[in-house]
Amino acid sequence: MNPSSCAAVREALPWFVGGDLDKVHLDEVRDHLRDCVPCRREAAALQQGVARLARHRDVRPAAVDDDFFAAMHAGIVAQVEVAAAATGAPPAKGLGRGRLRPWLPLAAAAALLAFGFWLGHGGEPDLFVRPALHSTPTSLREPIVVPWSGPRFEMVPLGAEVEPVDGLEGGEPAGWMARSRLHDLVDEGMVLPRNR
Amino acid sequence: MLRRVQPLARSEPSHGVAASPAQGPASLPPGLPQAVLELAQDTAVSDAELVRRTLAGQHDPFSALVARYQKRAFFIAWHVVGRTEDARDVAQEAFVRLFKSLDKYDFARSFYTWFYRIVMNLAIDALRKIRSARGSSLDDVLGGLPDEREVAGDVPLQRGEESGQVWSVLDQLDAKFRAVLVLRDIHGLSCREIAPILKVTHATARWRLHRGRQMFKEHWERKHGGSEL
Repeated sequence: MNPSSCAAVREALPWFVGGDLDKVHLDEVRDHLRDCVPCRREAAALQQGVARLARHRDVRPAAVDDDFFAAMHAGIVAQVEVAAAATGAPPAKGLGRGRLRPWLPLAAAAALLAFGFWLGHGGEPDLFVRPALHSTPTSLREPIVVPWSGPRFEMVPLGAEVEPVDGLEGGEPAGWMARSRLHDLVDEGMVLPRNR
Repeated sequence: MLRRVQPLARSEPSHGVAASPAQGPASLPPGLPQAVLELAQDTAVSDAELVRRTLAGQHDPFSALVARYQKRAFFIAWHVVGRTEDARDVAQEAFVRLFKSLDKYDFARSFYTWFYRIVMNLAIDALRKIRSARGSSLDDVLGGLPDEREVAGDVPLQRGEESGQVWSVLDQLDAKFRAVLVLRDIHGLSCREIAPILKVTHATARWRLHRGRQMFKEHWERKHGGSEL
């Protein structure tokens, strides 16, 4: 037998014994093995290895049966549920719970907080004095309402035209500073005296 | 809520390893909820369709995927790592990872290739961890192999002995060669199917198969003597 031919065939034998050789090379190797005993012996040894591995496919671990796989299925499902709960969003899909959105709990908490604040705030007295003056601001800025227990007036942006108020709601302020301020406003023409 | 597995009724033994994924699903475990069972058995519903339904938030499709593939995942892992507990852990972890990355699934590619890649990566990692934990003294460990390497009762004794010998030789092989032998010679996948699973080229898969078969033969002859020809 041609030694170089033997080397080439032996190189192809691991594929040949597993049926992983193309048709052309398959015929060449087969023809060579017909006449070459050493190569045939080598092929047989390789073939036995492949056959042993193929038979190994039928071997099952002793404790592995249908119960094992049923328990394994349950275990996988449980693990996936844990993973879904831990990671939040996408993993929950497919478990029949729909997609969890990570912002949803936050939005719900914020809405609940706002609702609770609105409920709790509704019955209590207003902490801020509401503006009694009904001026029409010329700018887009809203009047600034300030807490004030004395005479009610509103602060308006600089340059805004304010009509003088006819009288004061609630009467004279209690403190001397408030009264002093009121007189200043009267002097400035911002507030008209009540008895006018 | 995903339906839980109910108490089981024993059925006929199942093989659990398909020669090729194209040959259809492996036998299903008993005790599955009826809806999951029907979905898993329905050949008109492809794996990709199950993934699509899972992503749409439907009930049971992922459970059906688990039912379809858990045996294959387990046996592939078992043939790589060689221990029942480790193989089960690998299979379970593979499904968890699959679930977490379902939205990355490329519907243009086959599902089983993608899933087998997850299983194989985990199995090879597990094998390397086991080997590093063993240290260099392989023979000491092989002498005290766990019970799972004892074959089931319905396998003839002679084959049981051969199985132990096959394990001992597989343990000598590097993980990348062992992986190819497991997929090609034990599970019957082609090199074209193996290449994307191992994320190598077709030529590399063929070369590893070539070297793996040669090394298996050499280790066998060294360990158990030559062939009886």
